[in-house]
Amino acid sequence: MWTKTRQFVLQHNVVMLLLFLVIFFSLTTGSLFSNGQNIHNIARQISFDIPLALALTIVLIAGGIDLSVGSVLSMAAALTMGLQPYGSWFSVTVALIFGAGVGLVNGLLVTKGKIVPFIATLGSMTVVRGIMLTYTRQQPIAGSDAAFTYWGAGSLGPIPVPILIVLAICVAVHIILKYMQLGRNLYAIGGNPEAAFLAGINVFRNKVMAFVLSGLLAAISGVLIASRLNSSTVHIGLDSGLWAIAAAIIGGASLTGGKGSVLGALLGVTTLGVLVNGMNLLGVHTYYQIGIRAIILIAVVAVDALSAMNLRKKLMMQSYGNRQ
Amino acid sequence: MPQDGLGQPEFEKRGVAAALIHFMVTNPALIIPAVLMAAGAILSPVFLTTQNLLNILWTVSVLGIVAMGQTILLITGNFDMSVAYVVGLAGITAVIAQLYGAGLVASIVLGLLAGALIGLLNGAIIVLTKANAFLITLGTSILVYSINLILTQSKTWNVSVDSFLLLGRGKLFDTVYYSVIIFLLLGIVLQFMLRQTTFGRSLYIIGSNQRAGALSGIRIDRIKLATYVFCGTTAALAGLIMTARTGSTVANAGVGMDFDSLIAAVLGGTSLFGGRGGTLRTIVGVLILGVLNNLLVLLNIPYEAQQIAKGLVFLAVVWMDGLLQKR
Amino acid sequence: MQETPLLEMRNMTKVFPGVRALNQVSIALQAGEVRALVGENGAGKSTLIKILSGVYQPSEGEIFLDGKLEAVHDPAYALKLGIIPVHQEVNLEPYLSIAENIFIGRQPRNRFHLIDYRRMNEDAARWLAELGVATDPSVPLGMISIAERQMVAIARAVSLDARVVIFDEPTSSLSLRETERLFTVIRRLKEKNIAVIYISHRLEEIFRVCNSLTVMRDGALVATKTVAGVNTDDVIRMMIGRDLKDLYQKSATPVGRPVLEVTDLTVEGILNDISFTLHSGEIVGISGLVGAGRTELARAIFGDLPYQAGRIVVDGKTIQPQCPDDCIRAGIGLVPEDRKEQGLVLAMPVVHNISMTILGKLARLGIIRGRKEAQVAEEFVRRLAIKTPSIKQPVQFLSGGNQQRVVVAKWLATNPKVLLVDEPTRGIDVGAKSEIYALLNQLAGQGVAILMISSELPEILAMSDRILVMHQGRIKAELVGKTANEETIMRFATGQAA
Repeated sequence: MWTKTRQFVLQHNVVMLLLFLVIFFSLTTGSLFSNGQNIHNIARQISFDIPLALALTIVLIAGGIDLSVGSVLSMAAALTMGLQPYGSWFSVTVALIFGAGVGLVNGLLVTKGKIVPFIATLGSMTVVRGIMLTYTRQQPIAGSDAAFTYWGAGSLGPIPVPILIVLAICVAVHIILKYMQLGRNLYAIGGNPEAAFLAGINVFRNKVMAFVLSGLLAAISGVLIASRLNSSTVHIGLDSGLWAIAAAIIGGASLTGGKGSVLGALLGVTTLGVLVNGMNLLGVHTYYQIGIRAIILIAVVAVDALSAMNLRKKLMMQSYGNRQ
Repeated sequence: MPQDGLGQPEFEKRGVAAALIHFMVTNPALIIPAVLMAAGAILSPVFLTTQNLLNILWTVSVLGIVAMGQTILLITGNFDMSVAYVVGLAGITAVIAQLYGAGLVASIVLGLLAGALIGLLNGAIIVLTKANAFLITLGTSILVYSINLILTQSKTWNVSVDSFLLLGRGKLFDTVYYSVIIFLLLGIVLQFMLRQTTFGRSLYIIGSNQRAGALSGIRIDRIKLATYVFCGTTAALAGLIMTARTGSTVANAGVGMDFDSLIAAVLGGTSLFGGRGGTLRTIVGVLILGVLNNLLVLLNIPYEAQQIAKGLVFLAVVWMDGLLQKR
Repeated sequence: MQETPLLEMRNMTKVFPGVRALNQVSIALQAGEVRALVGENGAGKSTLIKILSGVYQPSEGEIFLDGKLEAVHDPAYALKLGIIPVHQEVNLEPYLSIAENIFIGRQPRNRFHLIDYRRMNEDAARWLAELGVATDPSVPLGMISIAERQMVAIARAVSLDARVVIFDEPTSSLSLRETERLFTVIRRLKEKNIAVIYISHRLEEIFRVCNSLTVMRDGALVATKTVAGVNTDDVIRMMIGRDLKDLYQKSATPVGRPVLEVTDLTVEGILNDISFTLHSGEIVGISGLVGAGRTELARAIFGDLPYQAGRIVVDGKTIQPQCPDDCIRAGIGLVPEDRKEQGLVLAMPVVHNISMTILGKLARLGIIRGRKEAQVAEEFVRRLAIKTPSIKQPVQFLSGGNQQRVVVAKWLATNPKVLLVDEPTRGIDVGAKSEIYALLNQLAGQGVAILMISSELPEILAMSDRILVMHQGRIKAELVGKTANEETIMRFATGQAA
């Protein structure tokens, strides 16, 4: 148990980063941990980002990427609010089906359509955003079921309800990734697509499932946000996709595929959440916050690329065996 | 079928009509938009008027200039998604420089420099780390957005050097807008560069088979860096013109131009895989995009539906482009 | 001996654009038979195996398993049929654990139908123990050595429900002890009535563990014999066929001054203290097995692979190349191993491919002089007899031999002093090969110093004035004249001689 933990920490720089940030902000602001309220706030805030990071992690593990999660999120929120007069369960179900449906389309575009995931999800992101704008007529939609806000805005004692929901989802995703065929297949496809194919894995079917899960998780996030705000606006989810990518990569997923974990995604989101929270507490102006977050995204992607380059060199060197 | 320009002279011999048909057949990506255009002509009486068409040309010039730089990058197989906010940055830089007393030339140079620097940043990171161009430039685009916000403090700033406005509003001999001329001229000059110069040839080689190019002595990294600087600069030029037209600047000027410039290039037949395309084709693509937009406006189709339409057309074109690659 | 063969492949033919990789090859295996498949590179062995394992579809031909016709349409189906390949390049998942690699796609489950890691690791450990591997199966595959990874691949094959197991060069990275383990495994497979196909160029191994062998050459079947009925010379003769020395006589060329001197060239982990000299008019052959570092040597000399120690002197001038451009300026050219991926831009016309290396020289103020470019291309098309309808023809439509000539033309255009050629006749049919040899000989006659890397022994023997044999990153021997023959080369190449 201890060696496994140590192994994890060493392989995942995110833990160091998180610790560093926590210490840094504790010292500079003094209010990071001073009152439980702040922790409560952080927890609630990141609970909406976690499903997105999970979505991206799943797709990255399979060797792809999904830029459409932000748009799916916003449309799911809109559907949840817009269809609420017909019943909250109904509207949430429709929203989730929509998310899964977009995922299915993304999956087909990438597999059957042979379109590169970046481009395919860039296109679907635009289309879904257009659908959302059309559906909402660019107006915010107010919720009609006050009880529904419990899921996003409520608390169970000191713990925000959404974080509990999301943690349950994390467990489910973890089970899929680690204990189910689908998850292991995704790791295989992302790690070495050719080996996966030769081993008899149906690459197309599994990849499509990855995108379906991604869309579904994005929709869940949208539903939770709608519940929290008791409304949907056209602004939610705008850049969420990029931050989800940053969180997933910080958490150990890689653009080259085959890597990533639920725990990593959680740590990545928490790290970014602590960062944003700390910046807020320090009174950093939002203009600068945007810039800092951009630099983090760039740095994260650049470092991932460099380590991928190193790994390629290492694997290549290994193929030459031991020589004196 | 030969895709690069070497085949072109042969067609001019056979006549414009045959050339046009051949162009359409080798560029299936154009069939959809062409069909849409024909539909538009049928659906709206206002569509084919001279005034309307000239309007379209004027409207697309700014995006068109951005698309020029994007095309150069696409030929090498790269992207720049930061162009949208670089457009804003250039205008902001020029306007603020003017407020500090810079004259016409100085403010233009500073604006272009701003774009070039962002291009340099993009290129350096992508070349050195071999990171994904898409994500890196999406990241820098947000960085530039933040810079824009900081510089403008979310306020609108006005141009203070009158001669500057001529860039966007002035007409040559009182007939053709300078901005349109710049757009078309840029397209023609760049096309010449692409087909007739060693630099241009290298771009196609890098885009088609980078490894073979490297082993043939082509200096890949230097050239890629140069293309990014160029793309940033053209985006800046477009931004200056846009600012000159409106007379003022906002932090998110140019929003949407990243995706639009990609669509325009793809519509014109430039492949997202690299190694194929040209700026003349992008002019066509930009015009088609302008026509599409125009049609949608004339038919009173709201902005939201435009987004859906653009996304669908984009996917369709990319898919067909992919099919073509398999041949 | 049963009457119905366990596996039969009839009239297997595979045509790719421009090359017939397999031509009416038929083989039949009985249960429990261990069949060696031998042949030089390009003989068609891997194509045959890829068809059997579902990676390729044959252009013609049928596969019968136990007398029943089977359409092996993808690797998943092949595995289901019990056709289990163990690939030459270990194609496994580096990030997954050893156990996961063994049980990929069929992990053991617990009563909740979830993957049971404990049982998987235990089962994996047992299979590994049979092969003498003691590593903890929960370790990621990327962390163990290549040899151990090969053993994992073998463990996987053995643990599957197999009818036919195919080993492709399984011992290339194994030690002697591990090889013995493999042989024990193969004997056990034999006892279980599993048919085994064993691809290897190590004839001693074949004579030890196989019942029979099939020799292929140039995509066709030469013969199938029992191991007892042949000896090494017979096999080599069948593999090589006509002695190309009869086809092509290399004329003696006067050897001139040294143009390339390489001293103590070292690339960490790949090349060690490589030293040799190349003279003008000379053709020096570089022989060795895959992985010996031959292509890497060429790349290092060409500025495509950074080196940590050593000196390269071209025509008296020391160069420190940072990129191929530096080397081209110094007078070195490289005809790469894979002309389609590394040598040509397939979509571009002949003229653009030829001018690629001399764009600077053809341009004035950066603008390419189109007429001069066409002139140069026409001249080379004539000089090298490149068969093409016009210089505007995209090279993807040329035959392999003509494509290779375009690559050579591209380098001749730079007027090189040294020409490095890596597998010059790979994927080129026999007729065109001799024309390439004539071309190279002509170049040598004109004073170019040629370094030729080749895996085809007859080719190297026929063409080279001297042969350097590499093994694991070092030059182990320099062979001239009578001492240069297949056996000696192979002995040094496989590290059996000092």
